Amino acid sequence: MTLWNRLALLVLFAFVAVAPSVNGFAQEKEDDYYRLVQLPIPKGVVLEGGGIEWMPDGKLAVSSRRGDVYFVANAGASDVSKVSFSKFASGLHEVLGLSERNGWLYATQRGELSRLKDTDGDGRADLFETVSDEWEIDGDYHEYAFGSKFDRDGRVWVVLCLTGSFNSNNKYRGWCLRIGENGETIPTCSGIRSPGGIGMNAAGDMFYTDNQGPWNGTCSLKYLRPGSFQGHPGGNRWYDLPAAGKAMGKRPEEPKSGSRIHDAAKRIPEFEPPAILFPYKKMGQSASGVVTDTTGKFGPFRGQMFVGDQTFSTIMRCYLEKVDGQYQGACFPFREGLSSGALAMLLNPKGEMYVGTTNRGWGARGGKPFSLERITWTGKTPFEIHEMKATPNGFELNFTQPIDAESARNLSGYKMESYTYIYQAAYGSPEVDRTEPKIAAVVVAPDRKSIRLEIETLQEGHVHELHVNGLRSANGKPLLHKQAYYTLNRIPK
Amino acid sequence: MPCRICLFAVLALYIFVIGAAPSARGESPIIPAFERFFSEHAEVDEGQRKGKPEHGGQLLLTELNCSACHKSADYLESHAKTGPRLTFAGKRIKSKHLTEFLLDPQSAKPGATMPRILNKLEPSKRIAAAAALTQYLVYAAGEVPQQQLPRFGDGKRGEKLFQMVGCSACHDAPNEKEPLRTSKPLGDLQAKYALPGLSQFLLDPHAVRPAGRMPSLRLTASEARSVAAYLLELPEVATVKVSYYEGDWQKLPDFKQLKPLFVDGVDDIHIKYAKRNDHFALRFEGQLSIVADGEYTFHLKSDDGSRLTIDQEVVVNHDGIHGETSKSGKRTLSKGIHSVVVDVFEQRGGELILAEFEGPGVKRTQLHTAMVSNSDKSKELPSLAFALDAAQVETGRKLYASLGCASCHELKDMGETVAPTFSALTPKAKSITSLNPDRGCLTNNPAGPAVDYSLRESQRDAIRAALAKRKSSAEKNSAASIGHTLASLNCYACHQRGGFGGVEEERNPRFQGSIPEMGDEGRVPPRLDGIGAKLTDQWLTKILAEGATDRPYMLTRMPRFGAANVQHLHGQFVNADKLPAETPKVGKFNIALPDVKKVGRKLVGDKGFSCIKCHTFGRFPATGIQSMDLRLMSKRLRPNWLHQYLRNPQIFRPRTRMPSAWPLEGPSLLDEVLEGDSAQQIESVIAYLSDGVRAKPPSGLELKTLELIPIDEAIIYRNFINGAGPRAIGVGYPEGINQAWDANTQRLALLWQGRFIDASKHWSGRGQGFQGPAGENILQLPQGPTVARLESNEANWPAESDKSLGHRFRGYRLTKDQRPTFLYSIDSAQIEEFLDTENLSGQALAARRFEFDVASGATGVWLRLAVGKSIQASEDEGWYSIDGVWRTRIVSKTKPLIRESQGKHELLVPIEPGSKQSVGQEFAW
Repeated sequence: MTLWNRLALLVLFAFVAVAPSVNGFAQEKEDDYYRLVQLPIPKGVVLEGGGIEWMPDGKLAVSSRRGDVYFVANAGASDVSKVSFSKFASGLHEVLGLSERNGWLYATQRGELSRLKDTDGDGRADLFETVSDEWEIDGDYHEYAFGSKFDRDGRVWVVLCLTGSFNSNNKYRGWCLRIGENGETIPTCSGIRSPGGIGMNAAGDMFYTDNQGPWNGTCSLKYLRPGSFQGHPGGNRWYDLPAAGKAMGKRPEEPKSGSRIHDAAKRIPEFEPPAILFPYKKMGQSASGVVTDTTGKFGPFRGQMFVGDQTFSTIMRCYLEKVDGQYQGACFPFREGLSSGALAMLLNPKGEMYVGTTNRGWGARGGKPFSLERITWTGKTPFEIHEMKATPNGFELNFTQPIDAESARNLSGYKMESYTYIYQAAYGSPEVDRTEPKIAAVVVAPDRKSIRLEIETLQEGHVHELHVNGLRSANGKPLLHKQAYYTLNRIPK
Repeated sequence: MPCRICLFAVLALYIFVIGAAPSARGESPIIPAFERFFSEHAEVDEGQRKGKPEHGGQLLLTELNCSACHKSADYLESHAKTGPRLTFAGKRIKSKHLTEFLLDPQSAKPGATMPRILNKLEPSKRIAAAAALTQYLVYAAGEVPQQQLPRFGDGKRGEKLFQMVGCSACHDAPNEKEPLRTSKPLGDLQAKYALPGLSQFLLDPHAVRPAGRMPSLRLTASEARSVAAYLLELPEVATVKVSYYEGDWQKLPDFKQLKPLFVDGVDDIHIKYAKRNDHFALRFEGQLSIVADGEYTFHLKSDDGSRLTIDQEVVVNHDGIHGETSKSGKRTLSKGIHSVVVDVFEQRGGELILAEFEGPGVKRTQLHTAMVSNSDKSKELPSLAFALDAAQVETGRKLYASLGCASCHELKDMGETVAPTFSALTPKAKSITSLNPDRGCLTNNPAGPAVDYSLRESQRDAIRAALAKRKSSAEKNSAASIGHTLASLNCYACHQRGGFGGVEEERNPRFQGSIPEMGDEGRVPPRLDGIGAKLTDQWLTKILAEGATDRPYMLTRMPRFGAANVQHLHGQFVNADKLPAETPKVGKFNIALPDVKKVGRKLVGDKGFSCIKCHTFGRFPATGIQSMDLRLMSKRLRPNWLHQYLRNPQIFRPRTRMPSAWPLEGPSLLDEVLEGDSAQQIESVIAYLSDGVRAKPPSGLELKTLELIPIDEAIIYRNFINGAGPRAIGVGYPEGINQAWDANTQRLALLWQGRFIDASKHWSGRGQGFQGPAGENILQLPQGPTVARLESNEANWPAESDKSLGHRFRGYRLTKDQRPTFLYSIDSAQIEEFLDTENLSGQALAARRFEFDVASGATGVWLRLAVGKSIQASEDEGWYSIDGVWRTRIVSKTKPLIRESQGKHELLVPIEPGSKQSVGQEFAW
């Protein structure tokens, strides 16, 4: 050991010992960058948020599992006592999707897509029209229906949970349907298991979250490519319906239980593998709402997606890219500490994120039965991994702030492992086929905003879990979140 | 004795055949854990360890009971797998099998650990010896097996149990095409057992095999019979004879004059045996087994008429046409068998038969459960009678002693246990430490006093390794290691510990749970790593002695291995297992114990961490998955373990769904309770739950009613409503009248008076199931759509609303006070329907107002306003009575029509095309 090293070690020890008081970085908190505020739901109102929409008049519309729709005025007010609630509609059946268009509020109920209007201007809906009831329910509580915002073609997408989250006993359970304003209903994807939310990315492509269970080793974010099969064969019987056959073609080959997603995707051309896997217990336990920041007013993450987790009461951040024309990417922790389980989400044009929460029937951290929360950017930029991109021989990481090159070059400051999940009919899966890809080199970009990790044994089809422990920003800060999980469906050539 | 010669001839042939071609799996003893971890075939799953040869050898030393001859004065003796008790072997096992098994255990029962003991004798003497030993065993038992046939349905139930309760953790199903190498073969059970013998064995395996290798799965007597019936594939005996007749009757027909369309053997009394919905009769006959003298009450519930006859006397006469009603009768019966006949007929409409009885010691139960087979078909099974020969018995007795059978097996001869003795054939054997590993039983073809276990080379090598280890290390293990016990009892088939065992991949699908959503945690037995630091002494003792039922969602049962065989694990687990970390210190509470418990109670409830969302609490189900009863926790789990587990469940149970409310660092997620002190919060939960069954239920358990009460305006409730379907739209009106409208079929389904509905079922927990009205006087309106297009006046009304026929639900409009007008259509015909509960005249309690807008050319549109067995115009102007149950008045410019269709009356109103038309309907009920 050279004298220099010795000195460096000594300095480091000293630094660690006094870190909290001197340095202040150890106190870095998510709250310094993204502030979480609970909106004051009036006493007596049970608002288990299932759908959220931003209305043209600047009010927030929030639908609930109990079937109410509330308008929230001044939702963005810094003084939350100015926030006020008024009931717009009630008596609906578990509304898990709201979308406004041409003066109508479209509500996805359990058994139909409806549209609501206040025709006499008294503030309450008085006309409820059924837009589509092409799918069926039989009284099983698990047969949920999640509805999207209107897409670029003027359609709402509805993802339909399986019966009991296992079988498809009723028409289109386990499918995604696209519905036009006129009620035209197009079967769009099969293979859905138990969705938790649905939303578009910046390009306007539709994604939904599915949850750990049969044929889903862990929760994931999936791309609803029209015509695709999303992995759970339970609902494939509906390919026999003329409308489904016409829109989707022939029934895909039955997957083989016990294989791997990666292999199944090669064998079954219709199968769209999950774009991002959320490793169970590491990145939540019940993936839910999906939103994208298209405003640039929500901090440095413009164009990225945010996904809620109901059990962990957290929001995760997702970076997606296309490799060989297929979506894949990484997820990162973003914000924890919601007071109940995240379900519905919205990011409004002002860059304010709203989250409706509930713990009814499914426990969640936070201890509150339900809440409506607002997350806003404080204007300070956290030191985060901004993007994680796959390269032919590793990954490229961009950061939100310039980095300290020396700490970046230290190989021992990174830890990577890879694993995947069994693609099987049984419930969930352990992490399997584990490897420790060796990081051979780190190349720091001249602008000190990004690094390239050169990895000797990339594992196609695996989640690559990366811990960036050693890296510091140019001014000495550690990353606010050190973990990243990249789902490497394909290695770019 | 000609048959004896016969038998010998058959056996000689048999020996010849099996001698030539031994069955592939019957070559050597199969001890599942040896095959899995130590054999030449051992395959190690991901993350598993492979066993060392000497440990495999030690396992064989106990499983082959080597210390029965080679004394070792340590665990090899105390944990040896002793042979089955033979006192009643002759009663339990078919004699033919006994003989065959003695001659060549591996052929008669592949994988047996019984050596070829007769190899000690000259080949020419073996057949006679086997016969003599069989004679002796039958003589000692004093009985041969009884034949009996299983009850109807036993086989199916047995198959389910076999797959479910844990049999398949060690055994393959008899019809398994690809048996697993690590499964203990069942052998040809039909050759070995009759039904009573196998049932009794399954009911209490330790009575015969005290060493516990075959655990008790805690089957009830009828479960044991069902599993035995499945394994033996016996024909089943029906307990009820059903005869089916068709005809149009007003009362029960004279069955003697009728010829049944079919007769069948079944096991219950049920209307399902009818082949159509109307115009039929069923007769059920059987034998009722009464176990105590006394007066019994019989109940018949039927639609239409029914009758119950016992010993040719009518006990309940419930004849005639009627709806679903009950009638009872009493009769004094003596203990014994009584003939019973239940008759039922159906004219038309609904149909049902339910026959029940109760009496001394019998709670009200369905009659068929006490019915027994009247034909003893078991008599048709081949007789298992066996002729004893005194000389043969004596020969057998001597052989039993000289061959050393008593070294391994317990046998009582005239009440005296036969003690092991030494003989020329069974001299005193060397102690285990002084054995030559290449001699005696370990040679390829053991002869003389050595016995032939049919060992494979890998098994001999393993034993040699164990013997060498014993010599070299001079280890004086007084107790078997934990691993040895877990291997010998094949605990590893289900449980993992120390990198060994756990459910094999091929066997994994055999483990099932009743709550699929719980994933592997709900169906795969838990790991045993750290169990000694986890379970309390009380619970360890209990589980080791009795097995466990703590995880009701797990269908595989934790069996009972017999306290004597496993109790030593208790101390070993406790000594070996340490918690992974220091348990955090719990600071002194500033509040008194009752207040500490109060805090714990809050944390467990819905105002805290909502443990009750996933865990049951005594009789209270959880709102989500039904995980282990919280009241058991303090009894089962050591406090220090709980402290660490609750902080970091993943360390203890990787991938568990159990969340943590207490981060490893920083304050509790509920930082306002006890100042966010995690250790104190956990301690308070432990203190609260330590009250066990007396713990006061936490908040959030009891479903509070959430009654919806319309006061100033109507309330709409769309949900699963009983009688109105999954897309029901309930409407409660301030006037105390309510409706449920079915959006799927576009019909008014229910009208009722009084309270509207309780929403707690759907608004607490996940919202499972259908909720009925809260009020009273519920009027059920006809199934099927309200409006339809008919080809003609005679066409049947459609049963369902059908999108392909143009039926559409379009939504509703609300008045200022939230009263809906339902909107629906058939093709171009638009219909609006409003229920008025305010502006009523005379006797009406509610009125429907329809508005039709039907394009010209849309002919054949009809409105159906009532359906009943009988619709009569009443004396009051415009009123009709439906089945005498409710009344309705129609206001329409087109004349209503009463028609008969499909055996019912329908009240229809024609809708004219090309105009708007209003129709009114008033209700009184």
